[in-house]
This record gives sequence, structure tokens and C-alpha cells, in this order.
Amino acid sequence: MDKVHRDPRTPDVHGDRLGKGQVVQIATDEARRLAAVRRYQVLDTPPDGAFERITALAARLFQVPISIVSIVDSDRIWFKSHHGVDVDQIDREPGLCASAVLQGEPWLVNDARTDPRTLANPLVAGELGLQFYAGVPLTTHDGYNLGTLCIIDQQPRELTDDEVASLTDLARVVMDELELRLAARRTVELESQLRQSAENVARTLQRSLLPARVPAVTGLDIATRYHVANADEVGGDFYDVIADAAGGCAVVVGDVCGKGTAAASLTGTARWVLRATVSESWTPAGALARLNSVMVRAQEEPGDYCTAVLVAVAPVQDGRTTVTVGLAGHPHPLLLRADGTVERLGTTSPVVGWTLEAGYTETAAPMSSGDLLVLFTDGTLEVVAGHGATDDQEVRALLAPLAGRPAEDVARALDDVLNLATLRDDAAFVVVAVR
Amino acid sequence: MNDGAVPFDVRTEERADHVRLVVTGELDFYREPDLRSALEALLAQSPPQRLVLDIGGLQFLDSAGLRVLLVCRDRCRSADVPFRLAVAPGPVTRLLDLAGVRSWFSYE
Repeated sequence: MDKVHRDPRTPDVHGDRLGKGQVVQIATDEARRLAAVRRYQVLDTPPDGAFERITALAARLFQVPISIVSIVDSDRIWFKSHHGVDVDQIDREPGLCASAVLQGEPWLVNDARTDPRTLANPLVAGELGLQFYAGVPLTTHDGYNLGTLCIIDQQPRELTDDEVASLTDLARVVMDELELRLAARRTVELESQLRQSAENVARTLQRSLLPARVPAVTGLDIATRYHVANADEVGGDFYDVIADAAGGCAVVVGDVCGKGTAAASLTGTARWVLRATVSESWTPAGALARLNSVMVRAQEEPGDYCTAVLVAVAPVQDGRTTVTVGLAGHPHPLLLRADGTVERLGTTSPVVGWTLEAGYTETAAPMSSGDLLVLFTDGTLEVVAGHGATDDQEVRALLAPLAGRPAEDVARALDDVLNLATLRDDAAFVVVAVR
Repeated sequence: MNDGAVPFDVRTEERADHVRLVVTGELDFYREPDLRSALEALLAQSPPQRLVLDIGGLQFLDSAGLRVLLVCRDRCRSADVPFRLAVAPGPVTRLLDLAGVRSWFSYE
């Protein structure tokens, strides 16, 4: 193999990085180079295996005692990996790597004691007695030299063209690793931005599926809640409170089977069909039948569906009212009497949206001052009673001591339980108290 | 998965007067397509005289599983194959009741 003595300022005839008409644009603007160094966020990071392996390999391959991956900062040269020397940074001033990064090519000093570029350098003249230095710039894809992969010996050396090419290849491995880490970090950042924006969309959509505010209804005290299981997903629960012209109101709690935008769109449909129905003279059974027919006709085969409880609350007079309940495959609403007894209201009709065969019925119950009606989704039931629960015994036990309290107190008691749990499903509920 | 959980399985049994699809384990969103394709394979051959979907050995049924029962019923109806469910009292029948859909099916 030919030993070549190279003037470091002549182009590297071997490496294709510079050859074959391909010109790497070496940015000479130091401020921009430093910005690139910052962008890779490598300064002062802990040692790590990938770079340690590369310097160890370089030392073995070229049979030199010292190999370094260096990053040239504004005032220092920091070593990402330093094989064979127990120093993790040096001042920029005497550093040879600082000279190397100014080049677009390998910087070779075969005998530093006689080389005019280095003979006065304290690393050469001083204790370290550096005599051989070969550094290849770590060049970013956009042309900035962050630092070098270099090998150092205390004896004069010469590298063949092949060896220079190998060192150059190793420097590219270092750079690939740095690029990979930057890309990975960017991906993570991007993902977190996307997640953030998905959460914003979900929140906005969710808000549009819930009433902006609960109307004031004479003689009633109403509290509503929606606990979200997953911030970046639109859940399928919904509730609504609609005042009617006569002075009563409709209360709706439902759960659309499915998640995401398809479920959200169905939730919107369900909510507006019910709103449109309730504004006329209506019955819960009739409204469920109408919603069922709309949803079945919108699908080719049994697919998305919803469960719901609809309650018509008659205008309150002298602290008395009647509630009429339509229940479509949904947990029974619970009526907490002022004396602490709990009744389960409604008889179960089929879920909404699967078949036109479904028939809907309704049942009525009187309520008077101090009585509370609690409507909830199975997400609430699951948390209070345990996963897969179909029995509302636990909810009844939780409610019993709250007899006669304002609706908001009951809502807070349920909040306390829901806030402690990791929700698998959204949980919505509405509490209606007769004043 | 809990100890003692039975893995999901669909088995076809030829009986004297009907064909029986026996489903065991947990029928949910992930397994529902398996039942569908078993049914389609069966109907694609020579349609049976009667089809019984035996879910007596199911340990769990979610809403997607419930839906596929109805899909199977409708699919058989359009293929002119009488359809029956075979059930055993337990969580599955409780769910049929809660969803209010028990009356939608004929039972063996």
C-alpha cells in the first residue's frame, strides 16, 4: 500500500464525500455551526455504549492508544467518547479538533513536532507529547461540522488512503448515530404535539356533544357530570337536560357503543334526534322508538348502537312531580327517597339502533320534595361496583346516606369515587333533586 | 386473563336434525369475526336444516359479541335457515336481559 504524505488542504481524493463533483457545503459561519451543535443536544450527555464501541474499534483498527469522538463547542472541545485518555474536555484553543472542524476533509498530522501547523501546540510540545493526529469531521446532513472522530498517537504515523477511508467511514457511523438520535427525538416531540392536538380536537368535539349549560327548571335542582377516561379520545357517553314549554323537562343519559369520531357522530345524531323529539309533545317510549328507527335505517346491519335512559319530568307543583322513564338496554336510574330508601326505576327495553323489531315501553313514578333521581352510564356503574358489574347494589349503598341532600352534594360524592379510579370507560351521570 | 379461563373456540357439530355452532371462551370484539367466518363457511356449503348457536359455554360476552349474535340470526334468516340460540343461565343471559334483547331470539 502506498503511504501518502498529504497536504491537508488538498481535497481528499479517496473519500466520495468530497470527490466526484459532490461538494459538501461546509458552513463557515461559526454561529450557525454552533446552532447545529445545540440542535443535536449531545453536549454533556452521559457516556454511552454506541460511541464507546466506535472509539474502541478505531483504536484497535489503527493500533493507536487514543481515539476520541469530540464535539467542538464555542469555548471547549467536549469528548462524547474518549478511549485511552482520561479527560472529558479540553479548551478549544490548543485543540486540534477545532482546526479539523474548519476543514471539509480529514485533517492529518503525521508528525506534529515538525508540522508547522502544530509544532508550537502545547499538546505537542507539552506533557502529552502528541505526535500523530488524524481527525475526520462529523458533518451533518446539512453541512455543519459538529466535531471529529480522531485517532492520536505519541509516535509519528502515516495512514494509507484505505485507512483514511476507513476512518472516514467510522466517522459516518458516528454521524449516523447522532442523526438517528436527533430523528428519534424529533419523532417523540412530534408525537407529543400530535397527541396534544388530538386531545384538543377531542375536547372540542366532546363539548359540542354536551349541553353548554343546564337549563334552570322550576322546582328542580340538577347536577351533571362527565368523567373522561381517555383525554385524546371522544367517548360515547352523553347527557342532556331539555326544558319543555310546560315547565317540566327531559333528562337524557346515553352511551353509544364504540369510540372515536364514528361514535361521536352517532352521539351527535342521537342527541339532536332526542332534542327535536322532546320539543314537541313527547313520551320517552315514543322518543326511543323514533331514535331507534333513525339509527337502524342509517346502518346496513346491526352495528353501532346506543343504550339510553330518557326521563320526562312533569312540571313541579307544590313540591310534587311525576317522572316517566324509558329505558333502552341501559342501567336503571335510581330514585333516592328523602327517607333513604332507594328504588330502581324503569323496565328494560332493547338497545337502540339494531332492529326495527324493538318495542319501547315506559313506566312512571311519583317524586316529591327531597327525593333525588340519579341517572348514570355503565362507566359509572363499573367504577362503583367493579369491572363487569351488572348489579347496582354498590351504587345504591353509596347513595343511601345522601338522602335529602342537594344534587350537587350527590354529584360530588360520585366524583370522589370516580376521581380515585382509573376509568376504563367514560362515566356520565345526572342528578335531579326535587326542591 | 384469569386462571381457569377457557380459550375462545368455535366448533361445528353435525347433528341428526341440525348443525350446531358451539362457541366457548370469551366472545368479544376481537373474536367476533371468527364466529362470523365460521357461520359464513357453514352457509356457503349446503345450508343446514336448522342452525343452533350454542353459547351455553361462553364465559363472557361484550357488546360486540352481543351484536354478532343478532348478525348471525339475521344472516340465517336471509338464508332461510331456522336459527336458535342455546344458552345456559349465567353472565351471558344476564347481559341479554340487561340489553333488553332476550326476546329477539328463539331458543332451543
